[in-house]
Amino acid sequence: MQLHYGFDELKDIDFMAFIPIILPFFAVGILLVLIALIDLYRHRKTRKSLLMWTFIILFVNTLGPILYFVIGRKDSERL
Amino acid sequence: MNKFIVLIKKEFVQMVRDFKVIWLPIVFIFLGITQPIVTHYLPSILGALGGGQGITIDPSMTAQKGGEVLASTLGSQFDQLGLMILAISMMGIIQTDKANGMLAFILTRPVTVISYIAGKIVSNYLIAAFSVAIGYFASYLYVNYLFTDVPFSHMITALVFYLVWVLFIVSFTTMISTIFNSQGIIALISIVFLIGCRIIVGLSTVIDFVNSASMSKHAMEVLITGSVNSKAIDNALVTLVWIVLILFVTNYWIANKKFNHE
Amino acid sequence: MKLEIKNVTKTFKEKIAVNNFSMELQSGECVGLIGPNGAGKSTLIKVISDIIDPQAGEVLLNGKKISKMKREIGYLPQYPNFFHWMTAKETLTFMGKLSGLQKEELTNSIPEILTKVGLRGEENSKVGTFSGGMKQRLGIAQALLHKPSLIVMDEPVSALDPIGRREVLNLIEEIKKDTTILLSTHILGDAEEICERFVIIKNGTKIEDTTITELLNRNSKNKLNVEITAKDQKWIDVVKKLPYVKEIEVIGHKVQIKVENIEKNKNMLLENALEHKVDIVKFEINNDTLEEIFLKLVVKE
Repeated sequence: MQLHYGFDELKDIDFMAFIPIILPFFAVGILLVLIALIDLYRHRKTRKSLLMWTFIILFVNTLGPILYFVIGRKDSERL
Repeated sequence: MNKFIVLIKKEFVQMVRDFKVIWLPIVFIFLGITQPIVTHYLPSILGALGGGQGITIDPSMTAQKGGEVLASTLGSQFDQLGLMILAISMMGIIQTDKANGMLAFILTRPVTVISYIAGKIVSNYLIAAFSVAIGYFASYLYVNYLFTDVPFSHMITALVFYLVWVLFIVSFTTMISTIFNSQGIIALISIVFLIGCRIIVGLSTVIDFVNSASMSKHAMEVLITGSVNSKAIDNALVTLVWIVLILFVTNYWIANKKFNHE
Repeated sequence: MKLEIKNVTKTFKEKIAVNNFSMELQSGECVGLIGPNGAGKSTLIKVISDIIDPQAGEVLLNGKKISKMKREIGYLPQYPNFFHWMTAKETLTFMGKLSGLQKEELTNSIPEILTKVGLRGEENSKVGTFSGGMKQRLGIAQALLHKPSLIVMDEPVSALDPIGRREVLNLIEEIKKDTTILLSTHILGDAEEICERFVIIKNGTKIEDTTITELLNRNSKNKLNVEITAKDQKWIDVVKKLPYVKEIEVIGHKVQIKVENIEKNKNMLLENALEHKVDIVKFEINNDTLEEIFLKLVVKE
């Protein structure tokens, strides 16, 4: 088996075969971000540190929305 | 029985309103497809980063069979990040009700403690099991596409084994959530204990026998070797005994009003 | 319906919250449990509603343990806390079903009860948006929903503003007609307004169990308050010599006179004063207010 990949060879990777595989991966990530943002927007009045969470959701790759879901929403449950 | 249904229904409505029914499965889908994709493309990515200098990569890594990749989805995604997410998402399962007085309030109604606990565990287990299963199926589809096919029967057997372990995770977190009052402590104890259980699997046959995390190992074994370990059924039974014990402790704790700390 | 509380004792660590407390409640009564903060009212209420177990003693409803009779009790916590994501209607449906009501019964009784507590039109609002008074009224609604024979309320009005307080008091006045009520409060005025019977509790012990009229009569102690002008001060010396006068206390122009029998002696004293041409500013039977009696009872010892 040839295990020597050069930079040029990377370009040679068939991107058309590549995209259908990797696309759902990103789609899932984006979906998570969207749901997190929608939830944050719906509860914008009761959430603390709104801005911080917006940034975390948007910029902390995939872990951001997860973090928001598991710990970012606890403050509103006090009521 | 009727009350039990009412409580389960309430839990599900709450999960729908919290979006939990959407995000938890998506997180597991994400975890599920990460493993096959990363395993498949890691050699290319490493190669690209190597800038054409040529890195020799352990051939076993690229030549992995589908079953092995699916097994490592369970072992290195679900049993780590997945377990943490499950524990954290359920740390408030009873603690929130204790903190805001709803537990005491609900129990002033003619509701048995068992139906309350059962309602909590069953509803949370269903959502956890659904999320794990759907993430696992996503992983399975990717593995079949990118690697060798995994026989359907192996896949299902492994899933069933793994879901026994998930039931233990849910019950254990529920018990911890009943006993302790701080969410941080609950998450910490649950995660440390459960991951600890998972880590010590394989150290000693005696511990493995009583360790519910062995179910995860059995699931992985089915995927890798294709044969069911003879100890798997025993282990499943021991796990069920643990779960009954956990239910008993939780029930005792609530029925004797230990949660009232004034 | 008959509620019996028998020798209930509850301690938290070293502190005795309720000490050997007994009382009985008959059908149709409205009993106010009053006492200062920390007297053990809430603890007692929680024991009655089976939220905490007492160390000793028992609570019986119709001769059966309270834990078997939850269906017959409606409980309103001090700070009713509902799931904030439920609407008022969902909350009532949830609590109603937990109380064992059928769906068909609920579809009829929920709008009815919401009207009664004045939450009609709010049935589809989230409980999280409710004010304290609205939550309290929703709490009363859920306590009434399953038509219990006893309603137990822990400080139903203490945390509310004057408007909310009035709403809730009127509501209790209303429901009092067809249910037995046991409520705790530290505000005497409220208890005076809605309850006929009082149980005063202090340091976990029952120190008084009586009706309001009895309490006032018992505490009048045959005293008369007389206010006279300065030029008639010498009349006081005359009064001191009267046979039926037992005690006399002078505070400025006011004289507090204790007599043997208020019924007979008050007119005799008045005649005596007129004989001496005393200029009377005020002549009244000394009536302690409930607050004074309460303070006396609670502060003594």
